[in-house]
Amino acid sequence: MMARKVLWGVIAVAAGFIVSFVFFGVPPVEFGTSGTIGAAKRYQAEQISKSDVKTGDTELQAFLQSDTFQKIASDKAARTALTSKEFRTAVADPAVRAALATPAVAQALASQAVMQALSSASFQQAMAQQGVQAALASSAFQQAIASSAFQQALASQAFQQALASSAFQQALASQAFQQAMASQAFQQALASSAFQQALASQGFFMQADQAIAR
Amino acid sequence: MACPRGRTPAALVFCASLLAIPAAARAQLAAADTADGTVVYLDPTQTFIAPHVGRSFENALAFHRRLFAYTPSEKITVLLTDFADFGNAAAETVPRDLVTLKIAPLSFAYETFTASERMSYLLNHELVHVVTSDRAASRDRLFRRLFSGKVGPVPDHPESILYMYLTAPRRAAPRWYLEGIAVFLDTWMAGGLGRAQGPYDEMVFRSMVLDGSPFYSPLGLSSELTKTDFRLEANSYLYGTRFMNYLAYRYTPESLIRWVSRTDGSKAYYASAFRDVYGLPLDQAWTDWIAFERSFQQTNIATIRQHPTTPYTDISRQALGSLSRAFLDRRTRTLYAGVNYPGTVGYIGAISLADGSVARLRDIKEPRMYTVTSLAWDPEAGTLFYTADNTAYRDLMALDVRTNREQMLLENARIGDIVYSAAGKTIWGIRAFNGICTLVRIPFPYRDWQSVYSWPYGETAYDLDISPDGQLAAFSLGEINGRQSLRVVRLSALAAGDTTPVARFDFGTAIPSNFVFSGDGRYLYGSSYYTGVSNIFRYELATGALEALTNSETGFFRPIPYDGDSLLVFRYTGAGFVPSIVHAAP
Repeated sequence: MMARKVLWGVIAVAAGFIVSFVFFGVPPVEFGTSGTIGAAKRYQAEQISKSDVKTGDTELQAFLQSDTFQKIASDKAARTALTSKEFRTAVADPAVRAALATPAVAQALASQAVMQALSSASFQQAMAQQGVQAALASSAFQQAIASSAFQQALASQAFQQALASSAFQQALASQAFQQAMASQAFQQALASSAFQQALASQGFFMQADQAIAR
Repeated sequence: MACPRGRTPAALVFCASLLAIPAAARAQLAAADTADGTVVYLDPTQTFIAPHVGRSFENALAFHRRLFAYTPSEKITVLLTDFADFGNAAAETVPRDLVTLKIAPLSFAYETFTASERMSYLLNHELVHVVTSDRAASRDRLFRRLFSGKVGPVPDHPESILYMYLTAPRRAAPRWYLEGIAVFLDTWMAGGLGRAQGPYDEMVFRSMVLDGSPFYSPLGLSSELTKTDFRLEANSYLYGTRFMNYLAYRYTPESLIRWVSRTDGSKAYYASAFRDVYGLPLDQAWTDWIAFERSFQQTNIATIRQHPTTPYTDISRQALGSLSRAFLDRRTRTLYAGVNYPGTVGYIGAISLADGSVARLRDIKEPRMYTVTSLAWDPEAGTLFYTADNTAYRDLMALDVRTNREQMLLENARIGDIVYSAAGKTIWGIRAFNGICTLVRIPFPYRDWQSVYSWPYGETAYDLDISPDGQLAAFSLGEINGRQSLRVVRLSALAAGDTTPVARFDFGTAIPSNFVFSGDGRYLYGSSYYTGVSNIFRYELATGALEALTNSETGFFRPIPYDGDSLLVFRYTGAGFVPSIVHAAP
């Protein structure tokens, strides 16, 4: 008789626990040792949760937080370049946009030298040429710009002057030049002082254009 | 979200669109309409948050509609800005209803503030101002028709104050009234999480009772205390909230709502309306509250004294107002800290442990009221790094304490919570930009910063410290649901986007404040109001054990491991913080 009473008691307690778990949930296991130190007790209702807050375009926010964006935004020359008509026309081209999205280009853009080169007036002029835009969008350019030698070349005074020449722009746009850019030897050559001197000479572009086109 | 260097998909395309707009000399502002308001924001940078702000605005307004039977007299404009490194907001109702939100993360310093999701909190609070100041009785509506709207006061035409009073009389109420009811209601709306139940507020009034400090009258509060005390205008929030709490407790919450509601038949002047609702003069009720508060705090003090309180030895001879994080130069036995006291310009001070004297090293441009500046210390070079322009976009400064020569390293970098790590000669910090916190590293010679990791919107990282070996970062993290935790992460993992903590302690909604590594890297020392009073805690990384080290009557903050079991701490008093030494064994 006694055993039956105990059994019913145990069943009643177990049922109580089950009902309580169904209605109030299983007590959560939390980090820390909050049980050892008594936390202050104040009335608090349930708070807004993460899923209640919907925000958009996190990709864009990730870029905005980067030092790359900060460098671009705080550089006067870069700002001028980016707001130019030529640049906006260029970035309207899907191929150029795709090129800009590649990691190699992104990394290169963080370089101060490349930023200066891109913000120069001669580069802006060159950007207006369709052929140059195509060159920038090419995979060869993306490979080339990842190399520090090429970045050095881009930033040089001679290269900036060269960009102003229509012949050089045509050369840049040529298939052959793009092939050449993929070569490591060519990238090193671009950065060499001899090449920089050659770039400064008037007759070079015509010859280079012909040589590459051949 | 991880921010690897050079993450530039769509980057330049975006930059072009972003930067091209000002060239066209037209506003970059965009507007999104809700049923009762217009959210104005910067496109495209703030576009990600604008819909959430709109929803938070409508939610808050729906609550006020029900509670006050309020209908806005016009569409309310909500303007998003990012002109400062800390979140805040303001509301104005004359001549138009305008709420301005600073979207930067909120400061949880000294737990002067607790909240869950910040846009919801800010709009809950600011719309109370709109409701209590914009709501009109029939007489106000008559004058609004006569003047073709609400009249804003114009300094050149003092008579415009009278016109404002006729069109929006409750806008002319004192600050403690406006802020007191706003804090009372934002805490109500957040289900009890807010300053109306905040432990910092409790500490302020408990300390006043312990110190025998006078309680100010409403007139003294507005005319003197908010100008001379180190808490300045924050006193309006403190006094106003406690008084509103008292009225709701002593009478009823409904009577409080009746008092602050400008309805047909109510008195225009807030003090006359008080007498109407409560049947006694405001000054009498204020005196009753002070008697109640003293008795309430005496009970709290008696409860604290049920356990032995921690003895302390003060270092300085007087309270120093607000203090920043401090650093000890063990060679010269000097404590360096940012100091901010009313009547002086905030400065970098050198506090002698030998005699408590305070030497003024350099003034700080734009100190913050509670935290003064963000400070870091390179003991080898004898260089203090600190932030200037702390109420706008912060600059990073360097001060050679040996020569007192100063230089600006980074202007408008927006980086705070700075920590110097001897391992790698690097300054680490947390940058606030566009409402998001980013961990950044500033390598020697400290002229450039690199982003390491950006937390998603709604997660606020603060109170950073770096382990002695330069491998671990400890910081506090506040989340959207109001939960706060102490986290320790491996820096290399965080740089790869892995936020998994190697150690973590959840403090519920209490703020884990200023946890710093011990010299051997085994422990983190910090403070928290976890038990209701701010005490010093020690967290052991290997075991995850948290131990309380002190029992303070007022509050202990910003511990620095000093000598054996001794800690340097800041002891709270009614006149501000006093650097002290405590013996702190578990």
